[in-house]
Amino acid sequence: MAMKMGFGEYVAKRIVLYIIVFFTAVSIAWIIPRFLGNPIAIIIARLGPGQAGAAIAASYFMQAFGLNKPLYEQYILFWIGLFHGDLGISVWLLGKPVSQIVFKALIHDLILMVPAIITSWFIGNYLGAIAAKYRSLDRILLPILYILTATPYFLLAMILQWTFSVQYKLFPAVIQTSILDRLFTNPSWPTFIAFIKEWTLPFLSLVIVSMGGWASGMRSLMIYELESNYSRFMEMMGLSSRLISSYAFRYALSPQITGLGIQLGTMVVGAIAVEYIFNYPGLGYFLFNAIINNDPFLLQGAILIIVLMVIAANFIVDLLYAALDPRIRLGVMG
Amino acid sequence: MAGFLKAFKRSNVWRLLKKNARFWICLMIIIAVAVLGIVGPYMTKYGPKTPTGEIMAPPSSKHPFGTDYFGYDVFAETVYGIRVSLTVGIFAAIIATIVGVMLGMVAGLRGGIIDYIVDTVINILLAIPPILIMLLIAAFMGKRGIIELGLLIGLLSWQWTARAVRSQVASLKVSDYVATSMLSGNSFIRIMFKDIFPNIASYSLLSFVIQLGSAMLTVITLEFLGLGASEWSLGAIIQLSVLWGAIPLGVWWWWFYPGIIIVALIASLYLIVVSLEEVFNPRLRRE
Repeated sequence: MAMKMGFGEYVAKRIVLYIIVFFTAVSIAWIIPRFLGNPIAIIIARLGPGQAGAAIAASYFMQAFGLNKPLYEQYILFWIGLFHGDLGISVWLLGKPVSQIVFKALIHDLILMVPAIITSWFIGNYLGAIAAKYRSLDRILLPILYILTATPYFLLAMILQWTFSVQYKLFPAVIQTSILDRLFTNPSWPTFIAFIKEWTLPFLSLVIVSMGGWASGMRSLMIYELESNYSRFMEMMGLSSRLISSYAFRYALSPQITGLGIQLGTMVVGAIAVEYIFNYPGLGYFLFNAIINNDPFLLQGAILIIVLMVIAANFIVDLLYAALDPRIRLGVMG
Repeated sequence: MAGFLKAFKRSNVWRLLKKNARFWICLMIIIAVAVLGIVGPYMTKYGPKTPTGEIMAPPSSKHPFGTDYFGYDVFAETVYGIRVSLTVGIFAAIIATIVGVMLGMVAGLRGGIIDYIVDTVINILLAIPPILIMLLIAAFMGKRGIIELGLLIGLLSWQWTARAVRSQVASLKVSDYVATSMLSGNSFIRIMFKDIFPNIASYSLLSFVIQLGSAMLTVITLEFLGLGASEWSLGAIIQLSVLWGAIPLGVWWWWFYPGIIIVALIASLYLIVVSLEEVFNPRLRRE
């Protein structure tokens, strides 16, 4: 990056990058099902009619999905469909439009993931900073934090479900979709409380694992800052260790802000299994079912929406970062 | 080689490593898991899918990890599973490290259009979670063997290594000794391997261990989603246990033992990196 670069120029550069990313992501989601596999064959295999019927059904689906048109036309049609919110139909859910399923699931996902990511970010960064500052605490915290990051999301979800809803019946083991629906159509206090009880375990599974990631990252960044020349200099000037750590913390925090978007990506993937385990009707739940039930369009649609969600989050985080970091905001340094 | 070992034993690195208890514990765990994968199948008379006749039997001396809903021995499934999952992970980590180091070096040293392309691809891969692309490809892939899966994960995970190597090489490039080497007419390949690579060799090793840890996590996740290389990989055992209601049935040993081995292995890989970083980087040593 150039030494002198204005805020506007920075934002413009990021926008160009995200347009490229968006274009690449949509193209990948279009290319892979077409060239690696054969969605029609999968659907026919699922329907399982006799030989003669299969050929008729295949040609019907070829026409219905426009797969008999030239490739460039299919590609353009896919883009047009995307902007009209048309992502094909789900085979597993018997012809329900994919866009309808995924948009609803997206909202469910946001209710689960936005609080999870914010909570884990704050607790994780705090724990990491403490581990870096107090060496005696670090001896215990360090292994715990790394064990948490090394835990697959689904495994922690299983441990929590086993402990808190099978051994001790404190929380319901699975989500009832009806409660979630009622929350939107007919909100009331009892519904909300019932929902929170069901929401707690999936929420905790996501928070605890990603908290370990934030904390272990923060710990390294913070130690690096605390051992740097400016910290040493402040120490020599006789400034309090509290002040020194507060400066180091602010410095160490900036990569953690950029990491937010990336972390969301990993969390979404972890959430696929967590949502399946708790029967939470988010994007991951449909994605998991799309895989085990061989549903090509639902799979494609769900991945596309998740990717777009992550790209949007990354973009927001980038802008936030640019606005927060004075070096970019004032255009002093790239 | 003997001379090298002697020099290494006298070095600062060895002195610091020797007293780093965390490093040795983690190394033992990693070796133990690998040994379990190698010799485990000879320790049990059951295959991964051999019915034992006992259904959902809790852990005992006969079945150290118990048996599952179908009467398969969980220990046998697990040791065969370690073989599959670990092979895929190691293969993926090797590919990711080699591709990352090579692309990072070429981009950092050459600059210009090549650097711009590599940088853009890195940024794209950082903005789209690569595991989603892996998921999409794996779901539509006709054949999902160990090699295919390893390639898929490796070729989509090199961006972290490449980004770090690229910035290190870019700062090495402007140093005097590289400039001298360029002026004396050394070829690009020679500069890359003789002048630059020795400086990033230790980072490459660290990067391999990090890549192995995250590749294992990716492999396990894909396997859990039913997109693994074999039906008795570690993740697949756990998926099957969830699909057949091991949690409400109370058959915890079906998923807990494979799960705890996964966590122990990946956590050890991550913690070994922390120890090695402390040894290589005085700023992290906190003495």
